[in-house]
Amino acid sequence: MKIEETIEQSIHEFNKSQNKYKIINNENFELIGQNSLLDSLAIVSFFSVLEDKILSNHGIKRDLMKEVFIQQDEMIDLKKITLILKNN
Amino acid sequence: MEIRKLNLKDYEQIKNLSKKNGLPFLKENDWKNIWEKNPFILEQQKDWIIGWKLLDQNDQIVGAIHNIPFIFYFDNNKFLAAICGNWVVDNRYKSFSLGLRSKFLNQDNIQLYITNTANEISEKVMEAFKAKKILQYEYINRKIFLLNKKKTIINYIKKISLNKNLILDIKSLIDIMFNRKNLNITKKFSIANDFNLDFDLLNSDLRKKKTLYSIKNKKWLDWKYSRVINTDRLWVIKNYNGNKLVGFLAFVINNEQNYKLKKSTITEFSFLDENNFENFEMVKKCILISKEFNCDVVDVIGFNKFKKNIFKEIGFTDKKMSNFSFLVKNLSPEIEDVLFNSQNNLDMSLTDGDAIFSL
Repeated sequence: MKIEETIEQSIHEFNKSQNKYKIINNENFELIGQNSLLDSLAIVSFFSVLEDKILSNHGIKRDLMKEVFIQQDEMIDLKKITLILKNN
Repeated sequence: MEIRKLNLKDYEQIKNLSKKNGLPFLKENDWKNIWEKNPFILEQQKDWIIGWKLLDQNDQIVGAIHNIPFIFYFDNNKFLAAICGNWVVDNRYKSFSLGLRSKFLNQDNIQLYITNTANEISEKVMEAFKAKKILQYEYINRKIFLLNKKKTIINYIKKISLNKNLILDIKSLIDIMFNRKNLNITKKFSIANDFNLDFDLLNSDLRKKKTLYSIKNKKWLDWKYSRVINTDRLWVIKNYNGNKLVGFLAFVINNEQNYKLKKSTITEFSFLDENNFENFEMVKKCILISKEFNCDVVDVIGFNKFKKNIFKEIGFTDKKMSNFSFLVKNLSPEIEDVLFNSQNNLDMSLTDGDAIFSL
């Protein structure tokens, strides 16, 4: 399974799990950044869903909180998440 | 947006940001003293980072997190802990708040990362960064002893029930109303509003125990309680055997804003000999002093099972807290079991984290 499909599944599951926030499956969607609409709890929840999906779909245990924040990027969108997951 | 090191000169901006976001904030000197008088910074690491700030495009502070060094001991080994506090980010920039938390949780040479004032959000965020709730006997239950039963019960009922369970509520109320305990004491304790050099020797003895605890020598206690030392808000009950200090209990008197009660909070309770009946009497003495100062309630958060049972026997009752506020990210394998796998031994309390600064 491609990583993009796993991300799509995770977005779907995250959106279904609550009503407050909606992540749009677009590579420019900002998870962290000036235009992000998410709060810390939403980001943490999404990463948690994504980690679970990566484990079940690809058999790899990831620590996204570490991998994302080690980058120290001002903006993290879905494109960057995809790159992080593909490169590591 | 940029994250930079926090500076003592940032006080006004941090204060305004915190107040804007509904957080209480310390007076300038008290805030600066957290780092300027911290024994670890003074003696070992003058370049300690006091925290981080999030800056917007105009270089205005829109987020911050504090970083405070503490020393812990276990089995005569020393551990450097970083305590976080005052994690605050303006609503507009809320997605950047994790960046601040990540800075705090990824420092060099830190063995323990601690928060003991976590709300539900920071609890989940800390867990996402691999911190865990400590495993300590009934940490979630605050122990309370009512001195002004009528006022306290009315105020609690007005606000919220004691437990979120009717049967437990009724049981607690019956316990409170009819549980009259004997508060007579035989021991003559030394009472003070400060800490003397005898605490250095006591700390040396405590170090040898297989208990994880934050350092209790004079200079660290002086620093921790600097806001209230030598005032009638801090009371230290010292138990001597001859000339040797063998135990102490410290409590802080404060006004509880939520329930509008005058409260005394037990923050320290350490002793060398568990079997000494005088440990019970120190708690009774605390109740008697609190009564003299017209406190409505005495409360305790934390402490190990043995100490909790002392409070219970004296007539303290349980009040469940809304969330589990004590989380630790531990990088020292030798204390992993103590923190997370042995619920009857761990002895953490308010004094072991940033909660001590908000009393």
